[in-house]
Amino acid sequence: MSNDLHDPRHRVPVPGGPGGPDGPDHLEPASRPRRRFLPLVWAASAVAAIVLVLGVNGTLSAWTSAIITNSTNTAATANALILKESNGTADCYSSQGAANSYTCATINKYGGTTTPFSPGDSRTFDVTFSNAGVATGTSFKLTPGTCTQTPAANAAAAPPVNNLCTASGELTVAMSCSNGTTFNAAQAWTDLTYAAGPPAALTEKTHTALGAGPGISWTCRFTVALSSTASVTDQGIVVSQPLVWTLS
Amino acid sequence: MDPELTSRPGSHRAGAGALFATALLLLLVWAGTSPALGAWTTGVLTNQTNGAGAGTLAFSVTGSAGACAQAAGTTTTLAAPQACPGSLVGSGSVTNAGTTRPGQLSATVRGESCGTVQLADRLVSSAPMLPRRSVQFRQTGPYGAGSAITLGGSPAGGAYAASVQAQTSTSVNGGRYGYGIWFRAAAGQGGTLFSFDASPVDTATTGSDDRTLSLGTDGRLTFTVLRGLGLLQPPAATSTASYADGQWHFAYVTMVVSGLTLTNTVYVDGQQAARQQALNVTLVQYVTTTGYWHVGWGATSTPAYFTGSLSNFVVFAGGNAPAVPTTNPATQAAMNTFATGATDHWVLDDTGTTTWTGAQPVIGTTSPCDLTLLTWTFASPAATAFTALPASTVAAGAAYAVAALPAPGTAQTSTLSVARASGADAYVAGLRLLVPLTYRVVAGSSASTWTQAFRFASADSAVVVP
Repeated sequence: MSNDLHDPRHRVPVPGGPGGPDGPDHLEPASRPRRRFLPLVWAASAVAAIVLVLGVNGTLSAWTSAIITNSTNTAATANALILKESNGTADCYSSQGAANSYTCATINKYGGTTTPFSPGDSRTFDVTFSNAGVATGTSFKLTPGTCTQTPAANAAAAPPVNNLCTASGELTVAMSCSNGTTFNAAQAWTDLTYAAGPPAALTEKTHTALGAGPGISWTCRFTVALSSTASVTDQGIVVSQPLVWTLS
Repeated sequence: MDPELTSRPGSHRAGAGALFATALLLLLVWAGTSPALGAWTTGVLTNQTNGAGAGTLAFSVTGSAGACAQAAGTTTTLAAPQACPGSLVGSGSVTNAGTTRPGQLSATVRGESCGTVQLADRLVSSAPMLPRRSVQFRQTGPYGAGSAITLGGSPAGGAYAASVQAQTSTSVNGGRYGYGIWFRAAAGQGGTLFSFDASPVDTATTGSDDRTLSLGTDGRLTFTVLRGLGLLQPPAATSTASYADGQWHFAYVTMVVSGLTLTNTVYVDGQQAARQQALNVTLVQYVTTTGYWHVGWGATSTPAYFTGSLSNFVVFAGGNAPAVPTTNPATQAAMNTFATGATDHWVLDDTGTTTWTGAQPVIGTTSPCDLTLLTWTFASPAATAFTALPASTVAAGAAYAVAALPAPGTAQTSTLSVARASGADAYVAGLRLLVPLTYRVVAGSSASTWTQAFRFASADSAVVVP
């Protein structure tokens, strides 16, 4: 696209100017008006230079762009409950598993088999639970699984193999919980507790007045004992029982 | 609102937005009640590995006869311990074959009693023989199992037995004195079958003993009678046949004093095997007029100590000895009948676990148990049950704790050593002291029924005084 105003080929000759009908012979008469305009040219140039400088420096450049910054573009997820369990050396989080349900294999509340129980042995195992989420939990439930043992109970074997899951007064499990990061027997809950008894007799327990906000902890103590008068038929038996903890 | 505005396309967009918001709200409600968001409202932890194991108690105690073991689930108590063969004297071990750790175990040792093992005199209860060193009891004898003793073997040192009661030997005119004994020796075995010596032990001066029957290394029997002063010694009566053939033989020796003649005759299995006659001079007494009967040792014969088996040593010292039976007594009852009228009859069928608590020569009523010191220590891990305690003290029934026990699957060394107390008379050397010892281990508290007790109380368990 051509621009007549700027195309030198279409420039209209200036009367009296170079190339015009008026040659140098007409220069003297025309120099007076040009001298009057020369200061204006210089002033206009100066103003143009100032405007240019201001435009480049930003004073007037903001005039050439429009900017809006949205500093609060956030989205919030719903508040969740995350159950944390710790025995002081190992931690487990419910959020480690899909659907906020995790199988924790590193915390054994019955003592394990490294140091087998002897008659009269009584050992306590404390686990501290806490709400690692941001919602408030209102109840805490223990659902014991089926107690199993190895070898299987067999009264006819030689020597006989007792049933430590069900036998009364042999291997006992007791459980109690209290608020806080350490167990406080004096302030133990009354609804989620199990007096010493066979593992298989442990039933589902729920603490309903939890009120566990974010970061709130509570501690459960397990006491596993082998009677001081344990039968010799208890020897060499390993019992196992899953325990499911639900914070809701 | 301007009605015209409602007809504008923008009003349609607003309606669509409202519908979208409603749908979104419903979606949220659904999602909140679905498992996807329900998981946000419950946290679940499953402790899958809540296990507890009960330990096992299974120990074994190894003595001279090998391991005495009890399996897991086996309970034995002090009142009903497991009887273990062999002896704990010397080096042995205690093995923890269970899973119970030392921190949950406790062990004690204790003695029950202490007495000097005896060989009873069937006729004179106050005159038992005391066996010394390596004596094996209840060996197969002429009357079947359990009717003999065997001398020799371990521990080293001559084995023999001597009566605790001194007797006076006589030889009066018209008297018939008889001495019978069953013996069995294989080729190369032999030694003194019996002797009558002034010493109650085996340290008599050569030539001081009297009436000795020995089986030489050539298997021939020799009976000697020594007189005092070395005068008019009767010649020894030696058989021509050899009897070291591994069979049981009944040797019967008679001394018949008739006038001026002393006739010594050796019968074997009812047949005369040797005879010697000598001038009998009453004024010259036999060397030993008062002494102790021995079996298995004599000062005048070679070898001095007998190796082989012996049974039924009978002595007719009253001058009324019967004639030799034409056939050997076939049963113990028949033997006892033959011994009717004997002065002494050591059947030698003892269990090795009956003890003599009466006075003994030299030491009188002092118990050898007071003169014998016992030390029982353990190593790896180290522990000491007791150190240099008189056997009588150990036998008082107190329990001595063993402070360290072996870990599961490991063995601990046991060393029971015996020493003669300072100043103790050499008379006690070689005596066999029966000190039943029990090692007891308990898993758990003192009330626990998980206990195993090992009792060493057989004849072989005897402590031999060095």
